[in-house]
Amino acid sequence: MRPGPDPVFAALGDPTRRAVLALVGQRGPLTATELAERLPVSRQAVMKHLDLLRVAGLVDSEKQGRSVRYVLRSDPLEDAAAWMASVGAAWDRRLAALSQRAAARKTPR
Amino acid sequence: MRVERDVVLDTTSEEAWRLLTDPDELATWLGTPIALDLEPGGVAAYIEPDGRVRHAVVEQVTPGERLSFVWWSPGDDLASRVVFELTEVEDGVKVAVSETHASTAGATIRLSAGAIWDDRLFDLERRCLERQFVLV
Repeated sequence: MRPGPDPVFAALGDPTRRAVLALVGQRGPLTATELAERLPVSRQAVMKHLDLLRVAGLVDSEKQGRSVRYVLRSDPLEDAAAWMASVGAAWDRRLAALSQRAAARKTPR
Repeated sequence: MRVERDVVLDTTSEEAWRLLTDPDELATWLGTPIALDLEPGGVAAYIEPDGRVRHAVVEQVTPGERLSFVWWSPGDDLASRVVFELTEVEDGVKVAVSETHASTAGATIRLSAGAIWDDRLFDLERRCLERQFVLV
């Protein structure tokens, strides 16, 4: 089963994690060492961020020989985008109705 | 993760507040309220136009200015926080709404919060069921 948007949003809540994810997306597959070389954080910190991203289903790891490489998985991002789109559309609909109601209630001068 | 929208209503902030809090008014644009206890910690529920029931717990109530609550659909694991803010502008009142996903809302929004809540939510559930029964 795919993780819901919850861990995805938590994973994306940190700027370093977003940077890790962006790098993996643009240049992946990458190892934790390669990521740490491109970011102002330690390899250990990168590993922690990768762990959270993996739990959220945003990255996958692939073992290649002795190294572990990380690749992007975009499905959960699409789920998050779907949440934002559906919640946004619902508010557009509600606020349009609210606006209509306010106009209808306004007493003619 | 947050969704933000706003609309300017050609009205007073008193009237805008009424549109956001009066059950009859809510029914015209949000959904039909089944319960509405507008005080911090109060519970609310309403039936959406598509027939689904949504539950809410009220957080902040500042008449004419700000209303916030956490809401969710039964059976849904995800809750989110909704904040309405009213600001007087030149041509009326700006109603700004934001909906923030639970995991980024900075609060524990899960509902297994003790006996009092269980009672209140049970009562809410019962009223929802009664209401649906009447509708059938």
